[in-house]
Amino acid sequence: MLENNTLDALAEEHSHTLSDMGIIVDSDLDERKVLSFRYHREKYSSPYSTFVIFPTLACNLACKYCYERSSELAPKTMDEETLTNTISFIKHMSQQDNTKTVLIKLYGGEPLLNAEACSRIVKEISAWTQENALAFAVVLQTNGTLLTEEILEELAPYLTYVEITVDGPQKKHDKARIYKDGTGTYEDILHAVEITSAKGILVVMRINVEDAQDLREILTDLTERGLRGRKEVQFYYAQTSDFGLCELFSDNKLCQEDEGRALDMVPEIKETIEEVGWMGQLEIPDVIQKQKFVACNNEKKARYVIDPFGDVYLCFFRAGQKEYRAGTLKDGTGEFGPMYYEMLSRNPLQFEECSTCVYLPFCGGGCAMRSLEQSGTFHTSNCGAVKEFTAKRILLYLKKKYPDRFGVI
Amino acid sequence: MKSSQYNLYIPTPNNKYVVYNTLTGSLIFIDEELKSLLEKNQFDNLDDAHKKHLMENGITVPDSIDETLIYNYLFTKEMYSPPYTSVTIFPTYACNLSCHYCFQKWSDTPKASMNDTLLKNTLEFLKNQITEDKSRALLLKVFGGEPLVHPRATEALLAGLHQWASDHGIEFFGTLTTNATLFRGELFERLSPHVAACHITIDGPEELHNSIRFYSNGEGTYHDIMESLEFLNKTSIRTCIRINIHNGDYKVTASLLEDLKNRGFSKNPNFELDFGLVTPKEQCRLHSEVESYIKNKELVVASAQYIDTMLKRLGWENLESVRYPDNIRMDRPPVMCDQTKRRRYIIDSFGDIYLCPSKAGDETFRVGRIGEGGKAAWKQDFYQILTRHPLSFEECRECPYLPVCGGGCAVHARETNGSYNTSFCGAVKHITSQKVLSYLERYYPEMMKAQSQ
Repeated sequence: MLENNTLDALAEEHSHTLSDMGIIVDSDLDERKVLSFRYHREKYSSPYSTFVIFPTLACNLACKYCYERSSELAPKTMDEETLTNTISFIKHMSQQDNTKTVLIKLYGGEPLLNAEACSRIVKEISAWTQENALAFAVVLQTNGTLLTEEILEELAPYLTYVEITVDGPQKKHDKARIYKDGTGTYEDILHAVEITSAKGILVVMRINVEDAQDLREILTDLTERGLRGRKEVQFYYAQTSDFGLCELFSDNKLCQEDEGRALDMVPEIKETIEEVGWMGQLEIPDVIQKQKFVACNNEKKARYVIDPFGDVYLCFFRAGQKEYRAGTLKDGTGEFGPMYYEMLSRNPLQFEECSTCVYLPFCGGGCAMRSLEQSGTFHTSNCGAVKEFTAKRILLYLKKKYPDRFGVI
Repeated sequence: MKSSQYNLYIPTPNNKYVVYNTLTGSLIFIDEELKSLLEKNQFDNLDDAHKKHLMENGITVPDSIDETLIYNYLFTKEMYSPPYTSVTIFPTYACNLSCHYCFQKWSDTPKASMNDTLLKNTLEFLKNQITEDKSRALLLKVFGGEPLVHPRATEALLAGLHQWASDHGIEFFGTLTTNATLFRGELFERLSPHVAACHITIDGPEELHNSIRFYSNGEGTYHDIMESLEFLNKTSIRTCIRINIHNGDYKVTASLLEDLKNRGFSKNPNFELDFGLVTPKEQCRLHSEVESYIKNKELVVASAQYIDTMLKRLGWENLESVRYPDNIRMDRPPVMCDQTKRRRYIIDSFGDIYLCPSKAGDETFRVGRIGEGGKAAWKQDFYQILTRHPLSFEECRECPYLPVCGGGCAVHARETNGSYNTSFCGAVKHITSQKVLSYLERYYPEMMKAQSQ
């Protein structure tokens, strides 16, 4: 009946329910207009501004898979002038964007190799947000090896959380996440997790795993270290991918296979987490994912990535690669170029293949950077795996939530 | 580099030109030769200092820049993230006066007022909506009818939302558009803490005003309005005095201004002057009278000079707060109607939601309705207006006036062409140059003269 639009025979209570859920809509309603409204609202009026700052591109580790390895040759660190410009830029753009919350992400390279810049940014912006009655949040994304008591003391009042990655159980981790002399970092990183969380600072661990067994081993180790139940330690997991950044943007098939494997792993992983008693500390969106009209958070207004050269990017994977820059810091403000306006003008409702696509409200036209890589412009779609996996995600979610309806006891 | 597609070359009275960039608002005096170079995109013979100057002002732009994308960015930003929520509310359609030119004077409009249920639902609706909109500030404009004939609702809205906004860390600005006859005594005391600004209209000097704005017993309102202005003169409330000029008679307007000056109002930095032209055919019928619509707009711009002369002759001290109708600096691009944006709600005494205040009460322009518990039902019109984008209109895409026009009034577009999703040029192509020249004459008279030498 729904497919044939023969709804006359529907009982009133059914048509009410269907109408409330938006499964059926008024005949004169053009849902594309509704979507267009919501899309632009989401894209153009984010209540917060995000500044991802690269105080340096240098790193004290030599992880084998790092997509930034290429920057090893030119490990630029932010100089005094760029730092000053960065701080003014954050203030200026937050005002321009009428933001309510300023979110700073200290990223890199290893940001703590330029701890002085990190400290100055958070202190100055913290004072400024207080004067201007804005909320302020800071995320420090670090490999953890440089997190000393001293640095923690300095940054603690400002940090919302610290994100630290573990690359599998110790024996795998110590092969992948290594110092430049080849020694492993597992013990040092876990030590950082312990002292940071002991200070009352939230640590969000990203745990990279190949399978559920990896995750079991790590969580068991964390339990032995007394971290289970510690509310300052949260985690999420990601599946290790054995391809690089180049493939991420160019090879749709590889990415799709990867996503497929990750989805297949979900039930077993969830079971494992429950068994080892870590469910309360899992911080991850459900498989069904939150609906987002805009494909990527970085495609929105009020998102800025600033590299040590003082260039502004929209995608943090591209920081330091000048051909992708969207603007440049200048005299305390930003000068934006074509890339910026192209990205902010991207509108999937104008792509023929998207304008009638049923997945559009869930997809937003896909990754703009992949579009650029593959078709030379932001103004094309990149479906990614949305068509293949949306149904699968929904079924996984429903099976978990309503097992009785799937005959699972 | 290339010339901006948003340059207007306006001849000055002395055979020179001023180039006005509608996207950046830059104004630069140029001669015939430079104009010709700009039009032909020939910059080889220009020195670097000139090139830099033109580029910095957006008169020229880098070759790689597609300016329509910049416009698109500015337009969408303005449309979807205005910094504050603006609510215009009609607690009642009733009024204690009946001015002959009032656009709300429909003979068949019931003089409805908000009842308690609707008031409650409206407050719920606004609280939900402002929370959902994540606004940092709320501008609440209480309008009517005459809002003070329904003081209970007016107070509930102003005081109630003021309190709620303060509790939620949202800045609050309340304004009251009133005929000022009831804004006194205890009511004034109760409401004024919640009113940041008010709008009051005067129709001329006492005699003329009283012949237009009178009570039902025929007695004039001038004296009472002056009394209210005396109260306001002692507060920090920003007061916009709207002065209607009838049939182009500036002489009578001058005598009103003289009276206001004698009362000491010309020195109050919080008193703002706004002028309106009232002609017998103020409410033009757009279908048949686009021409007279344009003529009217031209007259309005032309009035700036008369107003300026009049005020200067009188020695009006606070010229800073005069709203000149040719003030191009108030038209910060992207110019668009301030009402047809996100975070804009006009709610009438029936709980109907509109996006144009002059259409409130005309149900064919309704965009939504407030129901039980403050839940709104939106009509297709809401989405049509909020997704209206001039770059999707062919005639706008290449138009140099676009940044100061925005595709024109959506309501007029529907009235003229049957759909919101069309352009309405209105008078923009006729009055933009006129405004620029009038503005330059006032603020840069020497430059305009120097050109002639």
